[in-house]
Amino acid sequence: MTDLVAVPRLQREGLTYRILLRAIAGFAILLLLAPIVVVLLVSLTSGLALKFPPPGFSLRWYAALFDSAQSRPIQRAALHSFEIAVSATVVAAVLGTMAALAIGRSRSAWARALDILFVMPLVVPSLAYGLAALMYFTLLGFGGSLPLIVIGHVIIVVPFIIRTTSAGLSQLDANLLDSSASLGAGAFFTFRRVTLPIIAPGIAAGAFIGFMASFDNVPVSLFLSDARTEVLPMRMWGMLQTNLDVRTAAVSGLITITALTLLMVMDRLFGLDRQLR
Amino acid sequence: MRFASDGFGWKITAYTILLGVKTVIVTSFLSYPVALLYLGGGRLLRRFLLAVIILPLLIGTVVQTFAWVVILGDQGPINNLASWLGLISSPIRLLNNEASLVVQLAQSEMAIMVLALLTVLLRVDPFLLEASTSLGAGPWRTLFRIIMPLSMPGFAAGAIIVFAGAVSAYFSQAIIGGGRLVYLPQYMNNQVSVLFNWPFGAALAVVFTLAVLATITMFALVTRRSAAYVHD
Repeated sequence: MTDLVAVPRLQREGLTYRILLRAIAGFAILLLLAPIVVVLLVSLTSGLALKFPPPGFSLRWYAALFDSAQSRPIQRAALHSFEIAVSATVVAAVLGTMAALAIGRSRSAWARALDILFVMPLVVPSLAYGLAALMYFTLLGFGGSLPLIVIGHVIIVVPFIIRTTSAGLSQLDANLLDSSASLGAGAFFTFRRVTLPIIAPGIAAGAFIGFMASFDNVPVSLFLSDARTEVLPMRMWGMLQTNLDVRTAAVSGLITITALTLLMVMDRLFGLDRQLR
Repeated sequence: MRFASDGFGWKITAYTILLGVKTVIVTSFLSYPVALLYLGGGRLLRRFLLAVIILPLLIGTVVQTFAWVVILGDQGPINNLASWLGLISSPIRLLNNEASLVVQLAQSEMAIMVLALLTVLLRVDPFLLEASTSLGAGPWRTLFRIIMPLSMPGFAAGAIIVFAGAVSAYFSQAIIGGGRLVYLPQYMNNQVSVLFNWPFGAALAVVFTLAVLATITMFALVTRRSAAYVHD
């Protein structure tokens, strides 16, 4: 028997459901967009304070950022961050790909254990790891220097590379490797011409996320960098703590604009919504 | 070991774990509606949502934390709006409290949660939801009995990363939290960089790591248990 009372009840329920869901989703989207909008607008302020809405607009803080007379330390820190992120990503891409290949091929319990070990840095507090790295390097008798920070950052980047490369490897048909070998190709030739082209997008995706993670990292740099090897996030922190320097807004604005551009390029090249499948 | 006899250390560990739990709860509360909106949306809405979700991942936590310093600041949009509306006469202090910190962490971790939910939910057969509705289940019932249990694997993966990210978000904790709010990462750094008490710092690092791993393991066990009730 059809419940005649149930139909209006369900309709009313459907309405509250939709309204509530959209309200929460709308609030979430507002939260996600707020920092981006605020950073871009505040970085264009003509005033001397981090005030929102800004009293007027100008490019003075961007100009101040590129003026090496007053912004030398920021530029150096940005350069350090960039160098560290690039080197760490390159080293991690090579190591991570090799690890993913070895783990992917092996079916042993060791490979599974290693697989878990290599993604551990994603969940283990990175601050604890940073301190451990500092103590280890000090025990070995090394002080703060760029190569040491790079080693520290490699650990940050590697999990991303292994994750995405493993995902790419799982799409690799083993028959392809067999047929390549039976046609007389050596192991290296097969890797270069068959395996690498198939897993390259995975490596690239991991390298991209890893680069961002390294550029943005605070906990590891906190322990490993010193005054001579200061990185951008630490520099920004210092500027925020001392006098709420408006140049931090300009730095943030630049990073935001770079991210926006990257997003559009990625969308053009890969079609972001097609990736989520 | 000094940690065991130090009540302060235990308290901070508990607060830090609790901060992670709160962040996971707020993040999930905000992420499910966004994921559902994406699922039900057309092509244009999906593109917009995806851009909004991914952008924070590209921008990074440092810039976003800085943005929140402005948003919550004395001369920020919230205080300015409230005083313009005549609700307050002098700026209220929004920084340095835990509620603000949790909101900020939820904002920066939301991307991971939504993406984790979507990877699972996009594979769910849409007919399943239609079947549920045509059998007389209301939307809430469909949400709690069908969508949420099915999203469990994605939720579990997302929650673990969000939790781990929140407890070790040193930068956010120090800048948005700051002041009287001290969490383990900051306590640890204080011991090492200010007091040069390396052994105690190392002990804290071990406790921290173990506490995080224990929470994650417990959580993984619970979600696996509840996922066992779902038949597929």
